[in-house]
Amino acid sequence: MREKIKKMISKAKVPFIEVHFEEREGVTIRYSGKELESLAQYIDIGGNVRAFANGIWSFASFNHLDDLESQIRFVARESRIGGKGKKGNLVKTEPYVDEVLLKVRKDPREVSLDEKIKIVKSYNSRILKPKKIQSSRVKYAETFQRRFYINSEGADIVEEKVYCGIGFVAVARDGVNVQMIGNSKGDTSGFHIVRGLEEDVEEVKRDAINLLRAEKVKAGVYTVVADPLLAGVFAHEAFGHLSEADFVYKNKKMQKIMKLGKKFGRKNLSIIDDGSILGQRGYYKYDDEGVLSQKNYLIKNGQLVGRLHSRESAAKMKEKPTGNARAINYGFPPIVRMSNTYIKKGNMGFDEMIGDIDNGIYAVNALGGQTELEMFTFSSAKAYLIKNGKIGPMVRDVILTGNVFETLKNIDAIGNDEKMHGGLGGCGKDGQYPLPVSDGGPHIRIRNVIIGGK
Amino acid sequence: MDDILAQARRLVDDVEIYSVKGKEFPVLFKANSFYTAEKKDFEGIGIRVINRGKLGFAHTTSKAACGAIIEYAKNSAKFGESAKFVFPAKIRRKPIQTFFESTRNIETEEVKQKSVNIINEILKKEPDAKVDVQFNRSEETVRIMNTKGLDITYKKSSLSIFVQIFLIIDGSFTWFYKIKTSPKKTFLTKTELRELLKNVKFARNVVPVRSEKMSVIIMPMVMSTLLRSLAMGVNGKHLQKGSSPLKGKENKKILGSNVTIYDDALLKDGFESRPFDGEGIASRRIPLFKNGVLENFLFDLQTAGILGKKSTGSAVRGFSSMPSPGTSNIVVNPGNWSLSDMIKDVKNGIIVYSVLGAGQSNLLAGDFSCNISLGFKIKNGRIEGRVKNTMIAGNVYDAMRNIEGIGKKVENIESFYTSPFYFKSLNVVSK
Repeated sequence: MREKIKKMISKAKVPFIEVHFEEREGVTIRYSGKELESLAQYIDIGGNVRAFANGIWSFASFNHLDDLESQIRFVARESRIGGKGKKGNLVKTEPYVDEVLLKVRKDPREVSLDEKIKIVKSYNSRILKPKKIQSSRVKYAETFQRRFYINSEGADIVEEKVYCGIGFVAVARDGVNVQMIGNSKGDTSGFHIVRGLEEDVEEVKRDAINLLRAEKVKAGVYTVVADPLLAGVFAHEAFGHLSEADFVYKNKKMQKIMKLGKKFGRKNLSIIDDGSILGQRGYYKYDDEGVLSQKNYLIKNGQLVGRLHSRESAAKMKEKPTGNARAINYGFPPIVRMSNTYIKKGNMGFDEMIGDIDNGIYAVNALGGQTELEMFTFSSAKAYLIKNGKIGPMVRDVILTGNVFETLKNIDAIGNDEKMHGGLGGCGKDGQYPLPVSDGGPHIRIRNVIIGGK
Repeated sequence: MDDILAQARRLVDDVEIYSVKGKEFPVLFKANSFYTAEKKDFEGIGIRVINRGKLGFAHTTSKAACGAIIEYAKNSAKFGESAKFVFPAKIRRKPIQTFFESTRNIETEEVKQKSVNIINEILKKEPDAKVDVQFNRSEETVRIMNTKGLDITYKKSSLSIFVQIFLIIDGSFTWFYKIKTSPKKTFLTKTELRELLKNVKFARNVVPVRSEKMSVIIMPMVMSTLLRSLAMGVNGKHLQKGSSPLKGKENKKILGSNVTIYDDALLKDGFESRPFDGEGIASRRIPLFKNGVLENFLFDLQTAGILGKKSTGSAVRGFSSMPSPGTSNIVVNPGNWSLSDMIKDVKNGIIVYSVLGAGQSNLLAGDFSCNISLGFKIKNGRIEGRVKNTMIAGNVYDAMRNIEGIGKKVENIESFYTSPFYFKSLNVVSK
């Protein structure tokens, strides 16, 4: 099959062409309240071809693998027409030939459906026990994926991976007051990640009930201490997307704002994206253009030192490729994406960090985040007041918003701890969601954060 | 497909096959120039079974894998929820046109030409602008078969246009965008483009705003995100789970007397119009709130069965998921205010065109707290300039009881059809 494909693409009259094939199979189990609400297994097979001529891409995806030849003709023709009279090329990379087979401690496909259901059910029952808990959601998901990549430069790669994880949500209710909180675990290291989470489940349950009594936070400007998970979401959402070169290269003004060497934060701040961390949810050996993943410093000691590239954006900006072209599946072309993004740990302990805060917020984990590059908004899953240097009562509806450049400079303390979070979801961009990523870092302290609320 | 049904019925008591097959043609302009033309062929099959009274499900994109998938579905039925319904045997569907040849016949070259025209118009007024255009047309055929004898199908077309202007104004990033969706052939009109450019002009002047309660005009794009909260409230699933704040409030007054909202799957040229839902139950127009009074929740077969009600024909699904209650077209009855009258009426307030982060509050409870990504301050009936670092916050259920006026011009934001709303007093927080 692969020899046949190589022959077909060698005949296409276009400067560059690539073929992706993908086989996926997976299981999702979802409890909602007392019932097993859904249990689904699937097999998903498909592929795509993509051609590039003089700066113009064309792309076709399909489930039927047998008319590959006509798909190749379509993309070759469209990119040739579109690229007429234009200029553009891809940065040169090594055309790897490699086979990356699955290596995990425990392959979830070897665990019986019965056992998986038993685990999900036990967490679910645990959440539902207290009277104040109205409802629950527990979701298990595993996806095994095998991707084939062949391009007209000679790359020929097979890479296997398995994503596995679990998420749980507790909904507490007291009259019209309904509160909800959740947590999740997920990565590419195997089935063991979903075992032994009783403590995490207990915490979610406790938090949901405590949120019923929590006061709405008073709107205002606060000093905020973010836990590693929220710090990670900030690094990813607020800053990371700015480092994606496909946005920068098209815009001269953006290039000025994101000029390498510019000061973005204080000396102690470093932000890294690294797709090569084995076992993390954002791990891959090769990106979807066949480029090796690697550790990329984005901010080093407060200075902007790098950004994330596809082969196209690297060529446009005359920078080195970084291995960050990724697609969520065969239905989409690869675009510039993050992988595992984190703030590098520093040396301050937690007590010292909150010690001099008279009136602040300790914000833990994020329910979600959204950015329009410069502006960001996050809601923390739970939060506590910090009063006179001590953690105080829980507050709810803490939504942080601000300007990323100001906020980065306002990070004035970096903790000596560190945590990464992958979970079950992922990142969204240009209609491609969810892309498996992880993010994290240490506790960080940010001055002057605007918090919406009462 | 018939062979899959035949094969499955030998293994389990009852089977439903939901299949989708279609294609999509995205055309993309990035930063003022043509970037890519794509073609996506897709197909998928979802197999839902009832075996020994329990529900099972599996799905695939590969016909070759159907054998394995039937086994998966059967296996999952061992653990599934008890089925509280039977598959429907027949349907009395009302005619509704969901497929338009005009959409199918659009040529990529025409899209490219029209996009170039739009970009040139924008650049004439705003030479520094970076314009993205995403044009997407698609068609798909849905077929539902089951072992009770149902075998029905419909075809639908859809089209979406997204035009986004990016500008750096006084060193800060600013986006302006317009989304248009329809089953029929359409493009951006001159008026729509003019309105978009008018906002760009207003945005050049940034003005401060104080944190206080004030009049707020919310434009349809943002109304659609607020209406999502109400849609969650009337969702039969949340009722069944006991998590809807509307539980036990049928026939009670929930919203202001001037608010009437329908879920209308038979809306003419509606973006989510369809002759039947994801289980083959005929579509109809369902009043959700009539003059503020809660009239109906939305149910699929299973949720209705559990609660001893009837399906409202509101099963929403793709081939890769089990049905679940959901909305089709949400249609809000318009009022009699023109937008300019609303603006003139405001002594001190803001008008909000788009927000960031609306989905992060406690949606089910109706809470919202969102950062305004494009909004303007109004002083004594006139727009003064753009507001920045500002949030609106409140609760949809509270806000919708305190409406000063509803606009007369309805816009559709995907499947939400609403006019602007004018609220007398909402919380505005600014840095």
